[in-house]
Amino acid sequence: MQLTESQQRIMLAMARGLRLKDHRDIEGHKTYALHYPDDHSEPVNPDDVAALVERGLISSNKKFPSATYWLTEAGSAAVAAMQTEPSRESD
Amino acid sequence: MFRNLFNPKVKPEDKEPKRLWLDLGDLGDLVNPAGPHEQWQDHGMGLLRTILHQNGVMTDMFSTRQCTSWEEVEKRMKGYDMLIMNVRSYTFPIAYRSAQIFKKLNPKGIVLTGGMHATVALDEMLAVPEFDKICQGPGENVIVNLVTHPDAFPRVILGVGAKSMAEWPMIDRTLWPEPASKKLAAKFNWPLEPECGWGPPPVATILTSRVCPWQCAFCNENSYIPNMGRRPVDMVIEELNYLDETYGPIGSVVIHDSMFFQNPSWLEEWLDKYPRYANKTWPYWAAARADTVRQWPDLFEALVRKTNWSTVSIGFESGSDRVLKILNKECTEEDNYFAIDLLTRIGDDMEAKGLKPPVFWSNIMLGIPGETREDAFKTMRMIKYTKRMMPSISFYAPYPGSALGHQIIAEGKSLMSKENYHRYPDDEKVKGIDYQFYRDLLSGKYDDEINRGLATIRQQRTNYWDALAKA
Repeated sequence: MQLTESQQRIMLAMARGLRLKDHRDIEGHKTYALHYPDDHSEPVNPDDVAALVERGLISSNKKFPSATYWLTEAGSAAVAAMQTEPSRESD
Repeated sequence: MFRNLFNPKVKPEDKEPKRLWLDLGDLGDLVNPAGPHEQWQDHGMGLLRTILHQNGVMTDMFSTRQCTSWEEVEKRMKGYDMLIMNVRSYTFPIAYRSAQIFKKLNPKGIVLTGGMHATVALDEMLAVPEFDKICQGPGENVIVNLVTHPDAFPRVILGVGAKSMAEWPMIDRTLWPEPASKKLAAKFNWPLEPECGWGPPPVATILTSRVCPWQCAFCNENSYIPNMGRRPVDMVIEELNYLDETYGPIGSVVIHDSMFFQNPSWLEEWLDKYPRYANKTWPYWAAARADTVRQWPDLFEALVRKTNWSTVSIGFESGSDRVLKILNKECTEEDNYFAIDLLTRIGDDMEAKGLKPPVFWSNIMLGIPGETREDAFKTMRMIKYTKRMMPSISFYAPYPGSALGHQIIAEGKSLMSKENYHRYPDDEKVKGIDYQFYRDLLSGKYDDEINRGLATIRQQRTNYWDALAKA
């Protein structure tokens, strides 16, 4: 199964050093976001995160209420492959 | 019988007050959880409710984790005379809010609290006027009297624990909260627990010992919880067999002990009896230390091979002696590599025989005060060197209650505060740490640097094993 564009975008962002984190706030809302170095963040689709975890491309420290994700070796390899594709270089 | 041991005089009152035990956790965690660990059940609550019920002191129960809004919590809280909560640091804000709602709905009601947060952060608990009673330390020998006669106790109570876990009754797991959605219920296996990647479901979680006796500077739990005798091996196996026959078949076991691999005489008895008397030698997750693995390698190997210790949790924390000293870990780089090499050798051998090899579940810390870049590279090299590891990497957090945490807070270097440390959403927890370096490190930007040293370590370790084999 091919990765969707939004899934590829998440992985490329993580490879650039952005942090993918989830967080459940005290109201019970669970959010997933990519965090930039200047501390602003961009929400991502929870289904994309679940799909990437399911495929073993990302993993997390499994902490709660806030977990941090990273690329697995398979994920890094997938990113390397994406970066060799000319169409992805602009991401 | 526990009733006679701890409260022989309790008699049912003519009119029993309505008591609610509130299981605490994030809203929605038992409806639509994002991860496995927030679905785990509270053994403290299970034990104390079991003791209460065996003494005829009945409690209703629901969990904030079963609710998706505070309005739902409020609806279920009305009409009670007493609220009981086991408060941990990460559930403190939930407990606080729940107590406020309870008092609003039931102004004459009484709120009883206890748990680890009451033990390590009494000042924060005292600052909440809604907490009428606060029990510090273990509660099993005081809970019945406290719940039946709360007015006889001061606001702060020093709990009384059992001398041995042999005195604990088997937890009635049906007193734990159920999953609150059909989707979750289908895979939860209540009152057993769902799988989290460590072994097949259904999972039975148990405790065989309490408290890790070491004094790592980031934890120090031994400073707060008195030591107690370990649960006898026979009782552990009897409980697992009961769970298997009553709610099973069990798929795997999680031994929640802070430190399973201690007390060699108990471990030798476990090694002897678990394969013989358990209904099945279920694979299990349990914790060890690198230095004790190095101290008792034969016992460790025998346990892995013969008792199906399939997931070995070791908090390696760091791959650098400098940092391990800062953490007062009392383990060395050599201890870590010894444990890694030993489990790798066992795993390779098992794999060659067509068996599933054991893996490490390993807690790793980065961003520790005093850690240099080279220290961090050494940690990453250790992770990369390890053939079979599920790493749980996090940035050091200066929690109150630990020696290093107290020091960082006293020096004014903690970025966490009393108001936010329970739910700190960011990575940056200590002033002066170059977190961007660590983010780059985790995203692979220093992989060339890490890999350069890796070849040398592999060569050194190969020579080491060759020398050992020849000796």
